[in-house]
Amino acid sequence: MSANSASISASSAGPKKSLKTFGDDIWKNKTAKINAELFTLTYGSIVSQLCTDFERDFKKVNSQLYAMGYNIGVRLIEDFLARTALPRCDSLAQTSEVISKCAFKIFLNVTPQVGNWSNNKDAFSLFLDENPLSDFVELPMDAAKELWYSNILCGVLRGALEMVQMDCDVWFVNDVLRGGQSTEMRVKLNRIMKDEIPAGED
Amino acid sequence: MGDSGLASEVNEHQRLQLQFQLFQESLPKVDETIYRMLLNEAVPLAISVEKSLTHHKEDATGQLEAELDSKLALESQQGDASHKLLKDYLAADQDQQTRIKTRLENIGFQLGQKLSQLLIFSNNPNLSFKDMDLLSVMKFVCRDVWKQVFGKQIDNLKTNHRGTFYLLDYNYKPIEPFTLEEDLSDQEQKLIEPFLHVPCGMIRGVLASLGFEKEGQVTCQATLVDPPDSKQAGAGTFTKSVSFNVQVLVGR
Amino acid sequence: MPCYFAIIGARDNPIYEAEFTSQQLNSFPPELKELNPFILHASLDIIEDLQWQVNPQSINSGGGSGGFLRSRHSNNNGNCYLGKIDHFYGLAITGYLSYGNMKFVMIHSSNGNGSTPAQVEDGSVKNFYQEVHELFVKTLMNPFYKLNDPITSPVFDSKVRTLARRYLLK
Repeated sequence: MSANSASISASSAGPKKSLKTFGDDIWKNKTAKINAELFTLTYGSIVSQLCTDFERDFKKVNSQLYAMGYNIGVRLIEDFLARTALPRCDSLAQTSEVISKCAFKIFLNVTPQVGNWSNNKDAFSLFLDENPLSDFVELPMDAAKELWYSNILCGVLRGALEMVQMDCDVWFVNDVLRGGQSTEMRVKLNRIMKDEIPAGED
Repeated sequence: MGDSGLASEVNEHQRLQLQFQLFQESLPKVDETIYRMLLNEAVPLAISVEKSLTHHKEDATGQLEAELDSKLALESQQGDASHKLLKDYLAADQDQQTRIKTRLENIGFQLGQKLSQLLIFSNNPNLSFKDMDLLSVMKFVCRDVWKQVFGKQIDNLKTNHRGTFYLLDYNYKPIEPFTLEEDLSDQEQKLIEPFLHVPCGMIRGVLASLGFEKEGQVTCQATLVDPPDSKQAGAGTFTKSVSFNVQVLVGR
Repeated sequence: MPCYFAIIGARDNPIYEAEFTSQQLNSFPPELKELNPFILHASLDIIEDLQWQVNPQSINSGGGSGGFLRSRHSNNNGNCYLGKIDHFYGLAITGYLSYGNMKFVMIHSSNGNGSTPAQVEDGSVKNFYQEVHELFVKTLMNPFYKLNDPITSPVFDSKVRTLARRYLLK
């Protein structure tokens, strides 16, 4: 599956340098960096505090993390577009490659695999082989069934995509922390929003 | 109060310092912007949690109303926008504000507690058993911890050598992006407050993990201050200097 | 030789305990087994005394990629190892101190029936402690683990036992 999508990107990125080189270059030369473990610890402290606050009602924790991510995503997209100056994507396939090879690369220095396309090409999965949010994390028994530890990522993607007129659902379908084989995020495009007032501008 | 001279350590130490720095530079990294956003977003998050918890305690009619509200609201699923949450903070009563600040302190505390262990475990030349006294622990906070988290060191450390410390940061990073004028209104002052509680908790966390852990032994309060004249750049801009006042009870 | 290992928290509370035995070797005689926690506790005072005498070695900082914890070159914690700190009826007690004031202690029993005093191989024991220390710091980084709480993670336990097999039960 992922090999298939890679070929799509090669053709769509076409004559320009590949998105991968592009993302790598920005990461290398245009990105101020901080220690990944600090990032991991900070996120961990936040999640752990949420679990305490909601008395281990992990569904509520999930939605708070999602909401937090959304609020980051709607602003992060500005930074992303400013740094990459990428044009609008022609297809969801291209979007998926930009997310994986540019966005994830630039912000988290990882490149998730894109795959599991739906038949009508309106949904795909991101497989995170590495996840800087969840290094060191071992979920307690009670959390392993309900908590999506990295749920903030779904909110970030949802918020960021919304700002470029893509109405998407984003959710986790699997997580190695919960004993899964892989860490898989699902992105489903509902519709392209046209001529609407961007959200947040009341 | 004497200046304890952060910069005045000597050569062998500096060499180790440099090595340590090189080592740190070789560690895995993520983008700084996203880290700053994550850290700052903890504030609206803490407010949102407070809203959700107080809301939870309301009676059935309140619940119903809220449900109706959320159905009418456009972004019900996403929760409230950050700037709206910050406004809610101003409207919150004293108890709620206190709980929000405590929540942020707790996040900072846990971060500080764990970060210090990580920094020490990794060949840190700034701390060794022999001189793990309070002053070197504070210097560790000013140099290593601050550098990790805020990308800069504390600009000035003052102490009376009896457990009172002032850590002065003339450009406190988390509030750097705020566009604020000089002569802050009370409201603006109040809005900045919660952003100072994460580092307060963090300082206490570091101290706790290094042996200053008794209940109430360490207190930390942060206030916006005027920077010394030399640091004051263009007039008319808000200067973002923060003083962290740390009190440690040291019974001998 | 069978060993009894414990991590003692900053408030002198045990947060992890394990007995390492192997099939070929004797385990602790029952009457001694019950005493183990007491013997360890008695040695805590000695550790506290030693704590203030330890001289930090100069540090050889290494490069290497991977996180702080993944650094194979962290030799700085060499001075955490206190060596043999006490003995008790042919049993040897060794100790190790973490920077956060966690005490790692171990009772080494002799192979036989107690007639020959237990021997401590400093090299491998030190390696054991250092690797457990690293595991411990990793555990600490888990947001769901709170400092000074008992370590209940089965992953931690099994990794410690693997280390014990490698370094102690040869």
